[in-house]
Amino acid sequence: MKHLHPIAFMCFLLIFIAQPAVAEDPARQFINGTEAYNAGDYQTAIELFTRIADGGVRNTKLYYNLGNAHLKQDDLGRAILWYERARRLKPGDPDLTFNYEYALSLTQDEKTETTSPLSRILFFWKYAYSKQSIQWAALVVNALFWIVLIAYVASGKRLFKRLGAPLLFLTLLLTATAAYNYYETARIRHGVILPEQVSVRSGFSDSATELFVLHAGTRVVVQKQSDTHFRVKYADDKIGWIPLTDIGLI
Amino acid sequence: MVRWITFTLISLALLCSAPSAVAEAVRAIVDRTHVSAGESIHLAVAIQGPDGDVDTSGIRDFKVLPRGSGTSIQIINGRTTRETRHNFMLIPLRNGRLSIPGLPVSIDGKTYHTAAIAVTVTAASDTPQDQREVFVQNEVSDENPYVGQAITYTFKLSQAVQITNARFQPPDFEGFEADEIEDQQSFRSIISGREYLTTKVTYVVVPLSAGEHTLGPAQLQCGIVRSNNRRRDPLGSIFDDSFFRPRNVETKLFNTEPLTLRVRPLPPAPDKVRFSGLVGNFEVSAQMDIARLKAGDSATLTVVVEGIGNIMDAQAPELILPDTFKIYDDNPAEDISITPAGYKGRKVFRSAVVPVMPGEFTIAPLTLTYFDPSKARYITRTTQAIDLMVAPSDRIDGVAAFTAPNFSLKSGKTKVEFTGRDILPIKTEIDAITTHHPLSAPAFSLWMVLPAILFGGFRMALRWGRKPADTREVMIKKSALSFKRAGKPHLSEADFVSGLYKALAYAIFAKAGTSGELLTYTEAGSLLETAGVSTETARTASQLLETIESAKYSGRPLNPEGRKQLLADVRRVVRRIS
Repeated sequence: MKHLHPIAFMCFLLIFIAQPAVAEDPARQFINGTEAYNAGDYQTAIELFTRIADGGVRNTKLYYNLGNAHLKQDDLGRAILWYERARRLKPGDPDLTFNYEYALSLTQDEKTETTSPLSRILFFWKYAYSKQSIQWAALVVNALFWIVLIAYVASGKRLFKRLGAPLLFLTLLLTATAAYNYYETARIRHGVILPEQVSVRSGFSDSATELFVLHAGTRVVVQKQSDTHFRVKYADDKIGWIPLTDIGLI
Repeated sequence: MVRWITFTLISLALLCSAPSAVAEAVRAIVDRTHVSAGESIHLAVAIQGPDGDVDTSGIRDFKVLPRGSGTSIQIINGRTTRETRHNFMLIPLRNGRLSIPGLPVSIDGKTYHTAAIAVTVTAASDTPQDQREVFVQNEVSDENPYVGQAITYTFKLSQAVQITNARFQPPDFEGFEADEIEDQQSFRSIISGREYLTTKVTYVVVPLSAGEHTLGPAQLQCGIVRSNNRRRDPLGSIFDDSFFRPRNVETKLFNTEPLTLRVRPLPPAPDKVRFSGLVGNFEVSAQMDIARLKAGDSATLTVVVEGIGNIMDAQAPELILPDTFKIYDDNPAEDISITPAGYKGRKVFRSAVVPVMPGEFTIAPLTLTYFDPSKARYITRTTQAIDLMVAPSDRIDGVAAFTAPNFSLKSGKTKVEFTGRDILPIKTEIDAITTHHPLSAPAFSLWMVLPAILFGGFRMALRWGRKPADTREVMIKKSALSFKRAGKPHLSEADFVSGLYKALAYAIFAKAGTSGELLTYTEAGSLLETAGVSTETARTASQLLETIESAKYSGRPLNPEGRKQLLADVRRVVRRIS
């Protein structure tokens, strides 16, 4: 045991001394990534940006850059995947919208609506505004409602009572929508097809019947997951199994 | 040795004869090998033994119509034989010596072939027309039309016998614009003493380009109904009626001859003539709905182009107006029908004409130049000149100030289109490595609940901070409220008197600085005197209270004047003691 102490000491020393030299600063990685991108070395840019993202950074700009780098690398599936992830964080970014639309124009599969047209009409605000906008609108309207209520209690003026009723209705509506959005985010998973073309089959094996074919960048709803496959829904009548590696979860 | 040789030879002979035996098991049979064009042949493929699949895809010279299959079983000398017949109707697609090739028949995984059969088809025209039961013809109204000239293509079906299931396939009108005239004409005619029912299908056809164009054959497939030659019932039973007699239907295919048209180009238009593009025979007219108007008012100019030909292509003749006119075109209205003579109808162009200056004007005649194929030359039609008297406007001093924008003028702006496609550049801001924290569900819930908590705190603070209400103020408020209620119109006697009593009593309690609901008039006087009110006022108040009490309990009705007086007295006393 006595001989182990110096070895253990040396190991600890090596770990602590070597650590700063090996682990590159995320800021340095980001700068190197942007330089690589601007120099046309998209593969290096992807590696550096991905390393930052894998480190736990969730940022619209980073995801946007990853989408751009993949698009320049002709990897449409991953480009749209990163753009979709960026849109989750900040859907209204104009640069992101422009590039996302451009990438979508390169996809082959027709975009399908999984929600019914009736619900899109009845709950138009849910589809017209982003989840963040609905959340903030709910918070603001809720705050306004309570302010008006306080004003009514303090002054007794009927004006505040009249204002309170529509504000309460709006608060309930927006809060319910925001709550459903949270539920949807937590429960309903979406994915993007990564390879150029993938067969959606009736089962897990390669010999299972090919039901239909999807192409890179197509967005699907992920319904179930087995050890090797996802069950995906492309449209109401198009459901099948795809290998886990062929889909990127948004 | 000889035995062996004999055995081998017999075996070889049997082996060689085997295929012929199999070939006999599959046979192709036709009812005839000489037919006229349009007549059909009955082909049966007979298979002895187990049934098989017949492949007729190799038949190229005939149109093949399956006619079902049937099986027959025979027992001869205790031996059972089974034969299945697959029936087909063959309609020759051309004249000459045609062939039904050997048809492959699959039986239990093995393929056998029938023998090929030659069929001679003679042209239908070889048969005299008057001897034919059914025949078809086609024709065009003009075999040398001009480009854009409307001509007619007519298909005629003549039948001396009953036909059924007629299916007409018009020719391919490639190089032409064709529209069917919906009214099919049917008439009876006598040809060489035989009566025919003739049906005409007519198309209006407009050649689109010059040169030689061929209208391919039109095709008619139909079944000719033939009576069964069964012996008639001598008793004249009702079952001898044609309704009950089975009928045979013989399917036939008839083709018309292709027609070749030599389409002539239009001759060059004379110099300084603006050709309208119309081919046919047309008229043009123009009229203004009013001849006199004021500057700024609008008149409607109606131009009508009508005639026979490609009227649908008509454009409004060029209208030349002075600069002092504004013109707003309406959508043209058209009424066009397809007739045996071609497209016929009219197109009406309406324009709102607005003079902006007063004066006398003449709208120059409008001209329309079209090509008349019957005369083989261009013809120009001209309308009458239209005079217009424009008076000064009443609305604006300076009529010239009327400057309505000419909406017909193009703005000169063009839609901006992408000239190249690429994505926007990456983001280089260093804050890209900081994590965005979207509003989580618990945080959202907390922010939603927070204002409610604040409201609760505010209510509690309000309750704690409120001072106890002043007795005098409460009584004054009650008095005012009671008086207000008593003053309401259409109030019952009891409510009115009760309201006045309360208003006065509360006012007295307020003055005394105490609270209460009821008091007698003597208590009222002493309370008021104690509170420092003059004796006279105290007495007046107590007397009024007594009056109200007596009215309250006596049940004596009060007239409107009495009510009004009582209300005024209470108001005056309350004011004096307050």
